Parts: sequence; structure tokens; C-alpha cells
Amino acid sequence: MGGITIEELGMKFVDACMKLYWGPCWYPVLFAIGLIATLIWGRKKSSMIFIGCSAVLFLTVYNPVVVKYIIAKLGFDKEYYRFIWLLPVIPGVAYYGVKAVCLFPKRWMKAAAAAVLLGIFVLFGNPLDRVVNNFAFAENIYKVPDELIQVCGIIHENQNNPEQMARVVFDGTLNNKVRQYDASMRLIISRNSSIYRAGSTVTGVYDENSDGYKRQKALLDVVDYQLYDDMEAFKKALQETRTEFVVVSKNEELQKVLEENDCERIGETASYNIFRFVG
Amino acid sequence: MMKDVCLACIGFILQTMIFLAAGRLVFRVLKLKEDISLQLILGYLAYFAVFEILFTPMTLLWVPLSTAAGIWAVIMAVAVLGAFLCIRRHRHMDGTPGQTVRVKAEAVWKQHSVMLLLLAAVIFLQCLIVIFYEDITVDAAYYVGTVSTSVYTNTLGRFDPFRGGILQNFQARYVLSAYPMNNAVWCRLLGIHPIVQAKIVMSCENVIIANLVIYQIGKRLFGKNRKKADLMVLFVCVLQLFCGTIYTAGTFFFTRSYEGKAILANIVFPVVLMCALWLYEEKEDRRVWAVLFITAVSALGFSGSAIILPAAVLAGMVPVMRMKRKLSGLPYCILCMVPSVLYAGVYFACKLGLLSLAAS
Repeated sequence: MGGITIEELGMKFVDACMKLYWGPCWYPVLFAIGLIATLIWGRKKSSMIFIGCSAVLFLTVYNPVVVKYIIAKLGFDKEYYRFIWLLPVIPGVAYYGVKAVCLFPKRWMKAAAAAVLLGIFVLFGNPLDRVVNNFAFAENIYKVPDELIQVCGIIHENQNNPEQMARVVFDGTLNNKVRQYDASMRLIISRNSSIYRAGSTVTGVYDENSDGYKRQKALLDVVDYQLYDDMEAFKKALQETRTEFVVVSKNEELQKVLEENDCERIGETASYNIFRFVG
Repeated sequence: MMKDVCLACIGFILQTMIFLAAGRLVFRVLKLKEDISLQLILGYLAYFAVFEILFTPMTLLWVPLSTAAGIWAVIMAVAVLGAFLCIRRHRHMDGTPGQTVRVKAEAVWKQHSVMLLLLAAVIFLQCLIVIFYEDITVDAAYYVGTVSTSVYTNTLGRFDPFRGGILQNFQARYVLSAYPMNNAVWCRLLGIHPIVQAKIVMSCENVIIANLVIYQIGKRLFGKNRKKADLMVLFVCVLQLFCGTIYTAGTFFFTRSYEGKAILANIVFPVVLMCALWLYEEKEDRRVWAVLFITAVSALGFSGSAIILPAAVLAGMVPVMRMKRKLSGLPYCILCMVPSVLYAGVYFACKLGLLSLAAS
């Protein structure tokens, strides 16, 4: 989770995960205040379940000893945040919020209290990026860039055998999206090797001397990193992977390099060039 | 594009009807009092529990998607017919023609008043968010990619969604959860585009179910006071919108609602809390355990992370048993953990190389 491991942090792992999980959000504090209120005024109510639930979780999966000696063995470091989903902070805070609103006798007072509470929630929270802030509007019903749809169309128009899957090298901006939209594309660059090439081991560690990874790296170096030191390796990788098409973001230098290396430009969109590999 | 919009609407209505029908059957078997929101929740969970039980073996046996979709279509038709007969029989036994829609609507309005409009607006807003939101996380390359790949290859997950080649072995972390194959089945049956089915139709279904679960929790916490439960749904919506780190259930709810993990966080775990509250107020508790067991099985279908469900069951149910001073439910509690334990057993056997699940 967030690059931290149980091995590295030991007993402090749970605390670090909680901080990472909630970030600048203060809802756990509101939840804790609610729990104290339940302990004082609501011992016979169903809301005692929040106390029981939290207590069991803190004794088990949030217990640093259990985490260090059991959860570490299961290799759950990266996904530990899913245990924090079990803590009913959000329904708990909402419940205590409604309880607070109901303390007021008149309807207009209740409405005002609800509005104030909503303000407190906003103030104590951290707005979701790309949802509350800068909403990420999809360009179309398929939720992929319009240009990806155009690129797929151009590839299909230029396929020698439309019955077969088109073998395509896409650059990193489209590679993870294309097969969601059009599964008839056979991708040459793997998602995991591209993540590894970017410096992350989250999806796996590759043997950098293996032929498979060398091919992937040769392709990634050119299409994603614009490194043209070993174009022979690039061409060889295209040949060995029987690549038919190369799709890259528009870049004059890259276009020139590809055209010099057996790639013939067959189409373009506003931001992408589409090449056929003829080597 | 218009065709996809129409198909999405048809798909949404049909799938909601199937969940309601499945819920009706669960209600009939468990002899539960009429409650449309609970019916939809239980129908959804039962649907995915049965789907998981049927589709995981079919996937491992390399059954083609078209055959699997045909079998599933027959099962759904039987469920709808069964639900229809249940309703008719119920009315016949009552000796009354059933309440008119108007009478029912008036009763609902009386219980909720203007809060019902607020509730509808909140859920509608959330649906709009998931409909128009464009997710950029790479995980969709699997969760949606496997749907489009299965539809294209007419298989159940036998091809690599990332690149398109046939797999040698199924990946244990994915293959034991059949949820994406449900999307593939609907795409096959209705011709919906996989992205539209996964990221719009099912995302909206998930949003609605998640809200209904919160509503049910509210109803149980506030002694059946619907207005308070409605307000709780509104508060949860705002809290989810403002708990923004990449890990929170709220982030998954709004931005990755097509993923099984999001369902686990926003439906399955809250359902465990709902069951705990239900157990607290219920005298005949076997029904609650039955619902929890259905939830435990369906959870496996959503995500491999369902192996942590026993912790949720423990945290939710044990305190209630203690509060009620009634430990007779302990065997049922353990039984509800069995599906996750079995799943974990198979998963770790694959991870340790003791078991391999051939895909070709």
C-alpha cells in the first residue's frame, strides 16, 4: 500500500496505512467522537454495533502484532487498505450526523442543522479528485478517447486480413484502453512490462536479460521514451513479434525515425500517427 | 451510438427486473416481509451467488460463452417465471387482488414524504457521475478488457485481456471471481458494447444497490424511520464524495464502480453490517444467517479480496451475538466464513504451484 511494507515498518504499519488511507480527511475523528457519544448515551442501542465492530477490528486485523506476524505472511501488504474498508466510518459518521439533526425539535431547525452538518462534512473531508474537482467527463459513451475510435477504424481499413486480429504496437497513452473498446486488436506491448519499464515493480519483476523483456524494452524505448539508440533492436522486435501496425503520439522526430525504419505512415488523427510496418 | 444508448437502457431495465425476480424468490424461500429495497438487494446477491457457483466451473471447463449465456438465459427465464408465479400465488392466497399501485405509492409517500425526492435525486446524481466519468486507471484493462475479449473470442476468460493471446493457465487471482463474465453474458445476449455494459449499466446497478444497502442500514438503526434513513443516504453520499484518497471505498464507488473490489467495499461489507443490525433486531435469526451466507458466496464472485470477508463477518456478527447474549449463531457464523476459506485454499494452492488451472 503506497509503497510501504510490513517488513519495513513493522508495528507502525497499520498506523501508516490508516494515515495514507484517510489522508487529510478527518472523518475517523468524527467517528471516534460518535463512538464516545454512544458509550455515554447509547449503551442499549443498536449503534453499539459500531463499538463492537471497531473493537473486534482493532483486536484482529488492525492489531499490529497480528498484522506483523500473520497478514505479512499472506503477502497482503499492497492490498492492506481493503481491511480499512471494514471499519464502518462512513455509515457511522452519517448515522451520528442524522442523530445530531434529530436533536432539533422543529423542521426548519432540522433542515438548518442538516445543512450545517453537510458543511462540516465538506470542511473536514478531502474532495475526490476528478469527481468533485475537475470532473473527468468521458468523451463518448465508450469512455475512451474519440481518437482511439478513429485509430481503430484506420487500422481495420488497412488490414490485409480483416478476419484476423491486427497485431499493433500502441504507445502508452492508448495501450491500456484499446482492448476494452476493440478486442480484435492483438497488442504487442504488455501492460506489466510497460509498468516495469516505468520503474515500478507493482505488477511484477522481469528478468532484464530475457529475450521477451528485451523485445518489450526495445519497443517501449522508441514509442514511449523516444530513445533511438538501438533502432536495429526495435526493428528486430517488430519483426519477431510480427507487428503489422505502430500507433504513436504525433512527434516529428519520432515520425521521421519510424519512416526511416520500415514504417510507412498510413493515417493520422489529431494527435496520433498510424504506421504500417513493412520490414 | 444511439443504438448503444437504447441497448444500455434495455439492459438496465432487464437486469433490474432479473434482480427483483431473484429477490422475490429469496423472499419466498425465507418467508420475508415485503420490502422492495431489500428484495432488490437480496436478488442482486442471490443472482451473483448462483452465477459464481455456475460460472466458475464453466470457465474452468472451457465452456464457450455462447453456450454459457444460453444456459444462463434459461435460468433467468425460469427465475422470472418463478417470481411471477410467487406473486400470483401470494395474491390468490390473500384472497385480495393486491393493493393498487396508487395505494402503494401513497403509503410510500406517507413514510418518506419529501425525503423520497431527495433520496431519488441523490441516487440519480450518483448514477450521472458514474455514467459520465472517464476512468483512467490501468485496472480497467483487465476488468473491462476481459469482458470484451471473452465476447470477441466466444470464451469465458481463456484469453489474455491485456494483449489478446490465449492463456496457458488461468490466473487464480481473477478466474475464481465470475463477475466480469456476467457482463460478457449480457453483452452476448443483448449485443451491448462491453464498456457500456460494464462501466454504465452495471455501474448504475451497483450504485443503486449500494445506496439501498445504506438505506437498509439506516432503517434498522433508526427503528424503521424511513425519513432518517433517507437522510443517512444523503450524508453517506456527501461523505463518500469527500473522502478522497485513492484507497477509500468512496473513490472506488464513484470512479471504479465497474470493479468487483468496489462492490466488495460498497455493497458486500455494508451488507454484513446490515445483517449484523438485522440479527440484533430479529428473533428468528436463521434467515439472517441465510442472507449472510448468500452474501459470502456472491462476494467470491466479485473479487478475490473476498478472502477477507471472514474478518468482516467476525467484526459484524460476533459483537451482536455478544450483545444479545446468544452464541447459538456461532456455527452459522463459521459456516458463512467457509466459502472464503475454500476460495483462499484454492488461491494459495495455485500461488504456491500446487495447483494449476489450465486455460488451453
